[in-house]
Amino acid sequence: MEKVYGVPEGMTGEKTSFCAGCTHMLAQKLIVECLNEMGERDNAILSLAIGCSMNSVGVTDIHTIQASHGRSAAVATGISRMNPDKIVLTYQGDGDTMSIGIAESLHTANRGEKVTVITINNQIYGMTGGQMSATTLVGQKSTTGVRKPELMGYPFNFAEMIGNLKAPGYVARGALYSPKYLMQAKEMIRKALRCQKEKGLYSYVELLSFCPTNWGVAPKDCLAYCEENVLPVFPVGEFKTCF
Amino acid sequence: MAKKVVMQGNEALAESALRAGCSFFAGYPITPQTEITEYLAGKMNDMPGRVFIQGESELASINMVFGASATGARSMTATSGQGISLMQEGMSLLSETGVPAVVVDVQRGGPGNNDTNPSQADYNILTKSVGHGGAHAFVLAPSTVQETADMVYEAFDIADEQRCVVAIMIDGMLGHLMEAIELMPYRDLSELPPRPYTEKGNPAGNRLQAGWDNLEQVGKDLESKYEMWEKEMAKAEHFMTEDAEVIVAAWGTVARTTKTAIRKLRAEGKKVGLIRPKTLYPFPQEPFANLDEKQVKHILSLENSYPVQFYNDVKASLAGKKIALSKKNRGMGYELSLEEIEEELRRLL
Amino acid sequence: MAKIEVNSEKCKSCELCITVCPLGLIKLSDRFNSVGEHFAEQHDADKCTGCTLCAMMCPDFAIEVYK
Repeated sequence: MEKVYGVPEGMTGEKTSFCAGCTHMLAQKLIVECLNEMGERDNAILSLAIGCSMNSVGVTDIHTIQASHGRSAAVATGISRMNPDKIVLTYQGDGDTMSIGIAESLHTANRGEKVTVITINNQIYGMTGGQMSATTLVGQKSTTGVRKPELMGYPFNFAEMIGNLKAPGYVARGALYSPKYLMQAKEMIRKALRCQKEKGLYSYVELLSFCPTNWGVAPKDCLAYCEENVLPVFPVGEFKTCF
Repeated sequence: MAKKVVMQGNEALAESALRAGCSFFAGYPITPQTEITEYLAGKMNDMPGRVFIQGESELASINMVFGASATGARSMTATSGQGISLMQEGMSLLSETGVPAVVVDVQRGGPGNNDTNPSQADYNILTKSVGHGGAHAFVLAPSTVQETADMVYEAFDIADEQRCVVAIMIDGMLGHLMEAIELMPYRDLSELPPRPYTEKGNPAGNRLQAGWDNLEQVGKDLESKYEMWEKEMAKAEHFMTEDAEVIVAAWGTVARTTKTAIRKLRAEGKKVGLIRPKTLYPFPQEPFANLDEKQVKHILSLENSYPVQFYNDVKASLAGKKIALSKKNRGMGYELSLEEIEEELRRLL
Repeated sequence: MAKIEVNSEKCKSCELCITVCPLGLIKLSDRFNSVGEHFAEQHDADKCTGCTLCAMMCPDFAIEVYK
């Protein structure tokens, strides 16, 4: 018998420090697979963030530069401007992109920098242990309280927001919930990278992720939880496309 | 000998940075620094291989510099007042990852919300540490437009060699002053020293990060680097100190004004001199520690800052010496005038 | 003819593979790995079609598929 599915080329496949059922590594796998298909893995530079996303350091052999919390898009701007022939990506969480780094994220999109921003949206601060994030759902529990709109407003729909800007070339939201969603998300990442490579435009892919530990939901129940609670607030789909 | 040109301090600094090979500049407008950003905006994007970006904030700008420098380009930013506070996060990361950058601070006074007048109020924030984590920048303090141009030219080499942030501290007086200067020649970008650590596949691995596996070693290496700086790289100017009985300690534009006062007093036969640190970190302690107690009776520390900041380093350098030390300072938008300095020196002589 | 191989040391027993196997051929073992996780294992291997969905969903690279 022959191996038909294993660790993609460019990934170590070693054990990571992500929690059981966390889908961060699925996103990493999709990114590496897409770069491999395009033959661009050796030509890519990744601007990594702070938060759970940084647990992925060293899992791929992509040239990685770690930014401070929220500054990945600004760092990617510097990289991209000085290296126009490289594929430049950021890999951030929702706290990084939409809270502390909202200015950098928005202006990078609005300038139409030639970068691909990948945001993992799990509606909570994972690394610090379950505090409220910009995307925490109304009524969802966190260690800093339950989101009440009168106190904290509503979950932040960043993809919809930048989908309305002129400069971005591709803006989409996918999910890492099941093989069906993974295939759709991979197509989104593929398009986002093509948008950067072929059109020289900014692209954004938000990937909805599980956080079983901080949600208090068993991994096997997460899909049902998300279809009921998350997808109505964060619909999956393309908000802008240059194709 | 190169032709002399008359240039304003801020513009001379910007032009000299370009000549030194600065290929990337990101900055946010702030008085009294803005001319640097404007000058580079007008030039860089038309020069092959160079990029200018107006960042959305100082925070974004310093991080753009980090990205550009970490992938191979000589990079610079410039700011003032609040902007230096905002850049601390980025300067800390640059320092601890060993990514070179040049940061210009055209200082303003106090918290800076109202006051944009010349000041030396950022002394502590830049010399004591670049931010959280305790790393140091190499801090240069010119006092003429010529020296500003020369120091920024040298700053890029120091940053590359020492893999650090080099900070240049001037103020609105020097930034807006016009003087005849000579500029250094344009460096060929393709002949700048290689920076192999920015390449994929470098011996340090393919990731650039403030010590994931070896954080303690990163800290130890920084400490030995700073010890070397303090031992070998501190610089000061001695002005008429050979036989001086009263010596002024001052830096930047205050030292410049002091020189005029000293020349005037020397014409009257008064034995007065100046020690002017050209590097604020590493601080030149030796010129003070080596003073002859029999000759020098008094040290006067001058600066444009409330509360005093520079004074404390002078005091530390004189520890154990039997030489009287006093201070005179102004700040929060008010500067020591020639008359005030002269009067204070007369009082002490 | 297909089968999966689970690396019991990498498995964190999140059960995501179990939820996606269309034929329900994966379950948690009664045994533990070195950190005390009941790792996933395949039963009725002869029924496996090698569809790779389990490996695709595994966030820990613990599953390899052979055909």
